[in-house]
Amino acid sequence: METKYDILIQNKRDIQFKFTIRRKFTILRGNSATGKSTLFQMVSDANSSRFSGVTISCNAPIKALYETGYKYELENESGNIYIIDEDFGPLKSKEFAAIVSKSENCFILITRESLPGIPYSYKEIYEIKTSGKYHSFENVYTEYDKFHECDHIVTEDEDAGLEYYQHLYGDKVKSSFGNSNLSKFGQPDTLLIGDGCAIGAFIQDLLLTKSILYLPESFEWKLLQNGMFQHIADIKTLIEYPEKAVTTDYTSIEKYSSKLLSDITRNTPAQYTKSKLNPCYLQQCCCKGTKCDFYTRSKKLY
Amino acid sequence: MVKVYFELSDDKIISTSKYFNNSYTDDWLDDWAKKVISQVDHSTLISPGLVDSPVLGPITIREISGGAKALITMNSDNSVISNANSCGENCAELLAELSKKKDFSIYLAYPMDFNNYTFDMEITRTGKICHNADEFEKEYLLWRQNMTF
Repeated sequence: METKYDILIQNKRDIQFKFTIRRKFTILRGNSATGKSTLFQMVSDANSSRFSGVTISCNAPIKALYETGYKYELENESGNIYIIDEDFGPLKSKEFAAIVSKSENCFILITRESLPGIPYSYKEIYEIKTSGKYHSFENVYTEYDKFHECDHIVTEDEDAGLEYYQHLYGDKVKSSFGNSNLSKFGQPDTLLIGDGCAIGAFIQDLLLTKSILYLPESFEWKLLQNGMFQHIADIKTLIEYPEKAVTTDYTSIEKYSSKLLSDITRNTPAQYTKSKLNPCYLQQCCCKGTKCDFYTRSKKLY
Repeated sequence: MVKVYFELSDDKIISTSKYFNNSYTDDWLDDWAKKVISQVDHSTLISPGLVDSPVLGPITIREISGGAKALITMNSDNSVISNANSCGENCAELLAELSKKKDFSIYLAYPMDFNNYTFDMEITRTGKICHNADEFEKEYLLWRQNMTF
C-alpha cells in the first residue's frame, strides 16, 4: 500500500477536515478542543451508515478502529487508513505495536503519549489548525536537517554509522547505542544525531535536553544521497519523494533504505553492511583499483 | 497539590471521555466547569448538560473536549486518578491553578508545557515537589532516561 493520501472529510454542517498523510504512521496531538475527537467521530459516523451526512474523499478507505476485534481486523484487512482515538486501550502495548508494524494499512493515531514501539517520524507529528469550521494539519516540530558541528557529537548509530561520523569528526563522536538512549547524552553544547524517520517517540525528550539536533531520515538514507548513486532512479525517487518509494511493507524509511542500499551494492566493491563501513563511503573514489558500477573518480562523494 | 503518576497499570488508567460521560452529575457542572468549558473549549455552559460551541453549535456536555472533561473530573471526582494525557497544553494554566486549590491525582505521561505557570505538584515516582516547568521537565526527563524500552 502506498502511504501518501490527500484526505477531505466534511459533513453537511460544513465542518471540514482537509489534510495529507505521507507515511504509514501519522500522529495527531496538540491542544484540547481543536477537533481531534470530532474528526474521529465523523469517520466513525461515515463508517456506520451510508447516509450519515459525512462525506469522505480519499483514494483509500478510511476507517475508525475500535478495541473490539481490532486484532482480527488488522491481520485480515489491507489497503485501509485507520484512525484511532486516544481512548483506544491497547495503543501503548507492545502487542499493538507489533500488529500495526506488520499490517499493510496506514494509521492516524490520536495520542500525546510517546509510543516507543512504533517507528514514526518526528516530521509526521501534527496538530490541528482551526479556522472556523475548517481544519487542517500543521507540523508540531520544525525540521532538523542541518548538520552543525559541536564540541560533542553523539549518534544513535553504532558500527558503520559511528565509523562514518568518527572518520569525519574524530574521537569527539560517540555512540548512544540506540535512539532511546540518545537523550541521556543531551547537553546544550552537544549535537545529537538520530534517524528522523523513527525517532518520533523520543523527540520530546531530545528537545527537553536543549541539545542541537541533526535528524536525517536514517544513516543509510544519508549514504544513498552519495554522488555515486545519483544515476539510480529508485534512489532519486526515495530522496525526492520518500512517500512514493516506501510502502506499508516497510515500517519506516530506515528499513527501506537499508534494504535498497544492501541490494544495489551487493557483490560490488561498495557492498554495504551495517557492521563495518565500506571505505567506498569514506573516500572520493574507488580505493580497491577495480572499476565498479559506482565508479566515481571524478565525483566528490560528500 | 496534584500528585503526578508518570506510569500507571492498565487497570487504573481511566478512559477520560467514557468515564466522564458515564459518571458526571449536575454537581460536577459548577463554576469550575463553566470556567474550563469557556477557557479550553471557548464554549458556554448554558445549563447542566447543554453547551453552546462556536464551531459545533449547541452540543451536549458529552461532546466537550477530552481536556475539559479531564479538568472537570479532577475537580469533582477524587475516587480515580484522572487521565491528564487527555489534556492539551492549553489546559496547563487551569491544571496549575487547580493544584493550588485542592488535592488530586493525575496520570501524565507526556511533558506538558507549563510555561511560566506555578503549581504545587508531587512526582509520585521520586517524591520530588515541583513548582515550575523546569522542575517538572527535569523529573520527566529523568523518568524517561531510566525507562527500559
